[in-house]
Amino acid sequence: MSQIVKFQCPHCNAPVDVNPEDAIFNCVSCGQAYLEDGSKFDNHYILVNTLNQKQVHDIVKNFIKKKGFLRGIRGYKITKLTPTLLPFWSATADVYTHYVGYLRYTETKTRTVGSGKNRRTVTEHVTVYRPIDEEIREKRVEVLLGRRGSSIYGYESVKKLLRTEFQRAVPFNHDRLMSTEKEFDYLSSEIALNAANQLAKTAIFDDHRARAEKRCTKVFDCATQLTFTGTYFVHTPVWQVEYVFKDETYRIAILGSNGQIIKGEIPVTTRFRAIFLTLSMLIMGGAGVISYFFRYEVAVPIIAGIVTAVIGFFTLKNTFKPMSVYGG
Amino acid sequence: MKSIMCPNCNAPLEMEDTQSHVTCPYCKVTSELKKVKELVEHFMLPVDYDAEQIRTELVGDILKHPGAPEDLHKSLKLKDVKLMFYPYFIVTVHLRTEYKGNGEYATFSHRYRSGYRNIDTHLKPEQGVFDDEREFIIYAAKEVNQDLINFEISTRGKRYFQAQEAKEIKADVVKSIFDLEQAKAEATNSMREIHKGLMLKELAQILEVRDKPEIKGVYLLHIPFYFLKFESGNKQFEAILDGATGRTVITQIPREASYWIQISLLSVLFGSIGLGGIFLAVNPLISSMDFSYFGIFAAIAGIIFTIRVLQLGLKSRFRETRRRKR
Repeated sequence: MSQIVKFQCPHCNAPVDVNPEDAIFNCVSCGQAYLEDGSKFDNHYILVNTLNQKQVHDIVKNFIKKKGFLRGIRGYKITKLTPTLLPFWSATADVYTHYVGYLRYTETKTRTVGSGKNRRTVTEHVTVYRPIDEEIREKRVEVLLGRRGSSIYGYESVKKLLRTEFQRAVPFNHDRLMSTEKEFDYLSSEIALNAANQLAKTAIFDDHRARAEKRCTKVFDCATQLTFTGTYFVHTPVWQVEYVFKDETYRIAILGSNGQIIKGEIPVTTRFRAIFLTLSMLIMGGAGVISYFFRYEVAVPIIAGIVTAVIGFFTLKNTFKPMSVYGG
Repeated sequence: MKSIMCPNCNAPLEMEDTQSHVTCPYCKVTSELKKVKELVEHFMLPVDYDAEQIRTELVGDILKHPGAPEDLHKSLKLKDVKLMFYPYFIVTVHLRTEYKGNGEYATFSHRYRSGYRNIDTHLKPEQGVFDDEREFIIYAAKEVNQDLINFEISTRGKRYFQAQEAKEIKADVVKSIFDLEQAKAEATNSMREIHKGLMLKELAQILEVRDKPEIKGVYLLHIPFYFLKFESGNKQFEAILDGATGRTVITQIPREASYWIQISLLSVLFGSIGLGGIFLAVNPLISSMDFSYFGIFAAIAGIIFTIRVLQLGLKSRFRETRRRKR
């Protein structure tokens, strides 16, 4: 009733450590990538990591210096540096969407009526319908993470960065990986080629429909046609950094190929809170002074009140929030 | 629970009914169990954080909030620590829906600038196909816990479920209320709902629907969560943390008395500006000067500031991550 599972590399016969849900796996000895049925897979690319530990430390330092301006962050310490090769699928496709609908909007019309003493202007609001028959044509690069049901810190924004960054990917080379990226955590893909294409197709369809709906009040028809022009599996270096400031842990994710910050957390210090609370009060006071001097102009106090309320909405948020998050 | 013998060394092994793989604790050989009916792939996330590490993570998250007691690393007392594995199904569904019905179209008349004044909508027969694939995460415990339902789970580092491993760390395993077929049906239903929503965008009347669901992948994952009761400044608080990643699902935030005084002072200050503004707007004459518009300014700004201070200042819960709505 039971059997022991053993996997071997079809290329060099070395034993392969496989998590059975991996859709693509690489032999640790020779690096050849295989699909789940054991056939070779050659569209395997890698974005080359250009950072070393020291550079990562510098990036973190600059980030905190730049974004942590006015906060008085001194004496933070990096406690964890995890370089990871994340598995991404990049599906390129020619997409064509045709949609039909209408846009409803209001136009304001003023006209003068009457004559002599009764002469006056009348404002009318007219509802107008504009038929819409448009198309979207694009060469699209859809990026998705090769893990099922999974979230990895900073992953949502990395997809946006990768759309352009993928052009710099080079064919996967196992020897080079072993010599330069050997300290990297290596994650395999759980999503097979077909599934990657299907999920990418769904994401593109949803996006095009959303774009059509944005242009129209009501969409009557929306049809998308899609031809895949190539799907690539790209291993992407991401440095996950944890640093501690005043006993509290914050995280930063850095794209290893160009040093861009994917997502970063910055502490909110007491000084930062005090600055924004003072700012809220100064704005309230300043707007009060203006309103006092222009108290007979109806527009000035009302606009000042609304502007103060809007600015205060954000400055007060900064006063109370637990931390700042950039990107993501 | 059922018992089998290790095929390698004949040691007795205990396992859950849904368990597909078992690692023998004596000879460390992993065996896969082939059953007659379809196999549920059943995984678990390892508990990478012990109670002490979880406490550190919790305190770190609380301390990021203004007004939290600064000595919390020392003063927070864990009163009750419970570790439980909660079940989630991860299902990928492919659905092809062929539909027929009546769709809307419109004719326009009375040209006006860049559009038309009149629109007439009519129905015409329309048919089409939706054919796509999506992934669903289905919370499968009986107890309804919105925080666990909305938690953005991580599946990284999962391995085959081992009942013995959970038993060794004295963790309860919450049974899934769905079996494999029900989990598939749940996901298929969610997918049908999405297609129904899409159909209603294309059609005004749906007359005929034929669909063909196909499950592309399904697995059951048990995730360890710490349920904590803790004490700070003689008050009781509760929290849930993810034992695999150390992330805070939800926690209540203890605050110091001085924090509440600050919040009260701020809201009284802004509140009196707002109320004073309303008073001025109603009774605008002070030594024959008209302050009504000034009053309107103070009323708008003061009231919004007060609401915001109360809204942000009284927030007593913190969630580190939430699943994005589709």
